[in-house]
Amino acid sequence: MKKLRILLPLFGVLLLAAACNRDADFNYYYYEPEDYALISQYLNLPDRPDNYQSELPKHLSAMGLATRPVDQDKAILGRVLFYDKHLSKDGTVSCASCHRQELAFADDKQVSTGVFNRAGDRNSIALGSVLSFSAYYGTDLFGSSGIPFFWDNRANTASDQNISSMTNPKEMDMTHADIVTAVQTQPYYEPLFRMAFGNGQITSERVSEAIAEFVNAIGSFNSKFDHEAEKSLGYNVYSNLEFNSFSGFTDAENRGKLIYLNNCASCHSPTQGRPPKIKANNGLDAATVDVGVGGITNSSYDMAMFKVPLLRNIALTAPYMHDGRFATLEEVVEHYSSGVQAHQNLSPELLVNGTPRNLNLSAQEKSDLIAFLHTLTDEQLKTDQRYSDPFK
Amino acid sequence: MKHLSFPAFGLLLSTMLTIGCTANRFYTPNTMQLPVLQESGQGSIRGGLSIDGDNTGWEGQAIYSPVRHLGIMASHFGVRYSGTNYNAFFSPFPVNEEFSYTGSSHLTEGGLGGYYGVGPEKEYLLSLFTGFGQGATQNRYTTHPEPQIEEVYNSEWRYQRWFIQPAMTMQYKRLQVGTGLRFAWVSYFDGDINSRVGFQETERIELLETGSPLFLTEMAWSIGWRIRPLVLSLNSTAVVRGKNSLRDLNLASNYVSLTVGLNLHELKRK
Ligand code: HEC
Ligand code: HEC
Repeated sequence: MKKLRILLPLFGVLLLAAACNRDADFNYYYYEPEDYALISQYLNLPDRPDNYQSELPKHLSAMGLATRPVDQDKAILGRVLFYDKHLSKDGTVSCASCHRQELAFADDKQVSTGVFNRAGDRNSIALGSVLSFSAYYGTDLFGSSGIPFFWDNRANTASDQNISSMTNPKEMDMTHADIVTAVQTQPYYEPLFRMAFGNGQITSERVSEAIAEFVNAIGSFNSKFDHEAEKSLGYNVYSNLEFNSFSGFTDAENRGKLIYLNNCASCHSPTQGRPPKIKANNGLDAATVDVGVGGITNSSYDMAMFKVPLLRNIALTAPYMHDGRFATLEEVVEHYSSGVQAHQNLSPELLVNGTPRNLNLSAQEKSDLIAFLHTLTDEQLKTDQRYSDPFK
Repeated sequence: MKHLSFPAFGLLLSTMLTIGCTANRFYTPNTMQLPVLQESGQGSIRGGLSIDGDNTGWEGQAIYSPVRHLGIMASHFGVRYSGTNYNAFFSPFPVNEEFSYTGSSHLTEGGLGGYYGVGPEKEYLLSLFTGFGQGATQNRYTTHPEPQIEEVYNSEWRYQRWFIQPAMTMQYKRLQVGTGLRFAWVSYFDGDINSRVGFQETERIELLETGSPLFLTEMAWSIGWRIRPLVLSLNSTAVVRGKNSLRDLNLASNYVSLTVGLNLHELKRK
């Protein structure tokens, strides 16, 4: 009987606990409700934003590349500014006009058109190619080893870069004061600035800083190449890369990879990480047409030298080269196969005994190389909602 | 037990103190009550403190035996913690922002169970208790994105805990030692989380939410000094992490407290 007296209450507690057991259902919020209501009238920003901090796959982090820490609020604000046409003189152009997400943030024009349909000077650079921007771009973080921006490397930081795009008469044609006024008149910016900077004050520096944060946050590491490289290389990048075929690649892609590693990687990077060379001349013309880096440094050795672009998402970013002269990858490959010109600054990688080194690829080799270049496409980037147009 | 010399005792004491644990934002085990009951009418109350770096914990506990072999217990536990973090990668804030956090958690529990004394003077006591309690945790994160600007975000939730604890204690002259296991199921509910506390933090909180109820195995040790009617004890309660995923939750692994107990029956006898 006594034992029962002990057991019964025990049992009672058990039952009570089971009955009281409540399901976890947490409420997560990011914006204050009144802010979110206001923002949502104009923008589709998720109530809980996605993480803008990219993580590098192992084959890149093993090389010592690291992404820069991203300020979430500034990146979100930057995303809105990036897509906002109010930031241009005639209200028709935003950064995204020339940097389209579905084209890996390039455009499909030979030279980009800005406000009032003014033609620019050069082909838009695919922001989805340069990426891992944050891993190695910008002299603010990486000093003299940081890669500068633009085909001619004329801007040192993402912030310098975007101010120059906004004020460029051929792009958005705004003054600093225009920028501030344009932003101030849009009601959704007050809460976004407040969240990003602690108060709602709007200055052109803040606009630029936020856009830079967004651009630096763009990351695309989900290509077939990345998956295979991470899988088969692990941390042992240098010892395996040249010789190991990727198990997930087709034979053509693997053959193309070898051609690439032997002929292109010394400039464009074996891992699609940081390009080994910041600038080069790849023999597009025998004489200087566009001075390129030389226009900035005034050095005769830099004439017709251009940024060595990363080839990530290259299949999406036609036309090619700084002037968009090649419409297809076939034309690009033909250039390296038979069209390299003897410019005085032609880079040594493309020279043999002082004459241009044409690869003379067979038809099979050309199509293999192109098959490989297609493995560099990151399909997720095209629709990644972190980088998409937030306007309703 | 005669072999346990006082130097050895001191050694034990000091190791227990040094493994005391760090600030924690999600869960801290309270000091396990290890029943020392021999017959009906016996009971004790005790209060405890734990001060360890950025943590301050306090608790009040009571145990009483209304009927021989049957005991009831109650306890309240509170802990406050604070800290700063500078490192971008472990910070809940995404940029190299320095942030500081403060938080508190409390838990009130009741339990009941049985005890059984063995040995010539019933100096060994075996017991099995079960209990249930409810508590809440509040975390507040402060950051200064610019020197003159302060931003504060909160995450808070309530939780329930249900436990079963087998324990054994022993009394020898002025010494009172005990050990026990506590199997605890911790259920979280009513969470209200500002996800601006950062991804790392939010992801951990989500883990807490999806993992709920968490099953934890805890282990306790206690060494006490009897100065009738008082008992001065050093106690350690540690979470023995079972599942790997719990590691990401950053649960406090160990809680060390100093308690002063008053044996009510010894008071009466005087
Ligand atoms: C009118 C079209 C146009 C607009 C609008 C435009 N860009 Fe560009 N962008 C280009 C072109 C063309 C280049 C390459 C120009 C050059 O290098 O001389 C470029 C280059 C860049 C680069 C350099 C990438 C690298 O690897 O060096 C970045 C970053 C960039 N743009 C971001 C932006 C941002 C941010 C905005 C909005 C503030 C913007 N662009 C607006 C056409 C445009
Ligand atoms: C000497 C270094 C060098 C080598 C070797 C080299 N490239 Fe290039 N590549 C460049 C430079 C520099 C540019 C940009 C040139 C310009 O626009 O003026 C470029 C541009 C390109 C582009 C166009 C990128 C864009 O965004 O428009 C493609 C595609 C390309 N290279 C593929 C290859 C392939 C494939 C190979 C190997 C067969 C190769 N490159 C070898 C330096 C090199």
